[in-house]
Amino acid sequence: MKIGKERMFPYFVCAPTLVLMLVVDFYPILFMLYLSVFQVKLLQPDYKPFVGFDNYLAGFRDPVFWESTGNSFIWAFSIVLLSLVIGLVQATLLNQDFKGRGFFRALFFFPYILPSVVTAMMWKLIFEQNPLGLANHILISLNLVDQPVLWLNAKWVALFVLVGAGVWKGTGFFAVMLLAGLQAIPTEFYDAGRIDGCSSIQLFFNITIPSIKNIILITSTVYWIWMFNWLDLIWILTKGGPGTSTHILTSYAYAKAFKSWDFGYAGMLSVVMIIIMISIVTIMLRRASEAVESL
Amino acid sequence: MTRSIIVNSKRMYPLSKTLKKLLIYSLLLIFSIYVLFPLSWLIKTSLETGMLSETFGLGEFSWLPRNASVENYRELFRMGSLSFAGVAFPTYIKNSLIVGLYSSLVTLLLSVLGAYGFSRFAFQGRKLMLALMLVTQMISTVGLLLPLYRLLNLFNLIDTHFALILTYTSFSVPFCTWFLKGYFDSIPIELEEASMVDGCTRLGALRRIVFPLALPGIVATAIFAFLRSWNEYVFATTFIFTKEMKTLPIGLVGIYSQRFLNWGLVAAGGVVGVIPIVILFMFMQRYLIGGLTAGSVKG
Repeated sequence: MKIGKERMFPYFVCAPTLVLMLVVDFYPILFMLYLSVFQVKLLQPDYKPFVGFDNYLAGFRDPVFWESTGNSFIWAFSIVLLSLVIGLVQATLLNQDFKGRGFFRALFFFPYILPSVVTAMMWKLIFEQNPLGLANHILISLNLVDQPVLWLNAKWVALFVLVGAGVWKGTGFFAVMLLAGLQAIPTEFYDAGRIDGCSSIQLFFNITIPSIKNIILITSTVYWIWMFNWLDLIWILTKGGPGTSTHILTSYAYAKAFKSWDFGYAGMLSVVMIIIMISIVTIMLRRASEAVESL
Repeated sequence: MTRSIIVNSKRMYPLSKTLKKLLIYSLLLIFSIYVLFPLSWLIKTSLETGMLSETFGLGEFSWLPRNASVENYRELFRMGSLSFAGVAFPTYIKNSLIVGLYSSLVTLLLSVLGAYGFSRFAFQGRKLMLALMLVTQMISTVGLLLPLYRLLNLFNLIDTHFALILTYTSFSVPFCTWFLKGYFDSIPIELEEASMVDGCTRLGALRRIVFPLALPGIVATAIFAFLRSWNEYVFATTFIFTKEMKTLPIGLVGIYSQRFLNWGLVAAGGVVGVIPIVILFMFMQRYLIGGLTAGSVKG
């Protein structure tokens, strides 16, 4: 009796989580798969023909689909790369000996916990064009431009502003994760390196980076997933505009579902996104296989 | 906390030591400006009045708030003021608090139990479940919106706070379970075994031994779940229609998308929405950052 109860215990404690995941996370995947092979439009509620792979073929021929896929990659990878570089500088800085390290660690982390809505508004405020925003004011007073730059009205400038917001939010997250990695490196490694006559730069590239390689990969992967899926910042700042030029896959799917009411197409986009994400994550994490092994 | 790569300062020459201090402090200054500037700009704007976007022209730029006053904040809290189509800002805050507190409590309960199970037992399907939890993190918001809407509608739960609580909980639980599992892994199993020899039950050992030791991680989990729910916009705007039920981010975007954009009011709303986070973060940042990193560094 006792042994039987013990054996069931892990299932008992994990069951609620599993049920929740199945209902709220996996049922939707199946449902989107199902939707993606039908033509489902809200404007024709009773007409729902099975169309097989038509939505996928339509996506293949849709230039906006390709553009938003490209944007998704540019957006997610450039945010991760820039946040990683700046975060690494911040982490190295925080790992030095000075007063108030705890305070600065918290300060650097702070943007990460702000609501996206507020981040978006702060960014809009700085890059505002009609009432002159700060960025334009600085550019004009330095005589770099004559006319206010229309930050959110041209594709690449708008993407640049959006990526800036994502990086601003992400650096602190990278900083604290990498700092924890740095602090786990035994001091002896550095002592040994110094005895062998390594310079600080050599120490950094030959000891520091290899030691935190896994944490870099894991943090980047997690953040990459979040960025690839992030919707509200883009939605509030540009809504994919001007035109459709700054759509990423998430915002394009959202627009298809809740502006054009084309649920079948949106379902197809969601399925494509999951496929892309699982492949990328598998590639990125293969290097950190120890992490998966330790399951 | 270990201090590992503090460079052997004794062996360095005084000049390079001074240079290094200079470098450290100038970098700290640069990064502090990088973090604080956008925030201070928000605060500056929130103190300005009478700047409907149409009238805020090119010549009127200023680094300091013009006509500084707290009028925007007063307007924000005025009951039934026109700016919010009849709903005062405190209602949004109250709604966000309700949803945030409930979803973080439920998340906490589920992920503590689940993480304990994953950390302490080898059972059939364990690896699969852990892998599935990672996969849930990859499902896009948009992919969840439609199916969940349909599901909630089926049970008549659309336009209730319960819908949001359920959704937010399901987002936070996998992540929180993962990082709590890492935390539990670092607590020696012998402690529980000893207490069970002394007559504790499983759950007793969890409550008396593991729970107190894992408290920093548990607090981090709760804050994490709360913040996620406090900040969430897309689901809240899709699942809630009634004005009186809306949460803070929706209220903020509501002021923002008005016909006559009043930046002062928008900024004041942003500041008010951030204040609870600042307070929570000031008291809990040690737990939050410590807990977040402790679970993951082990990998």
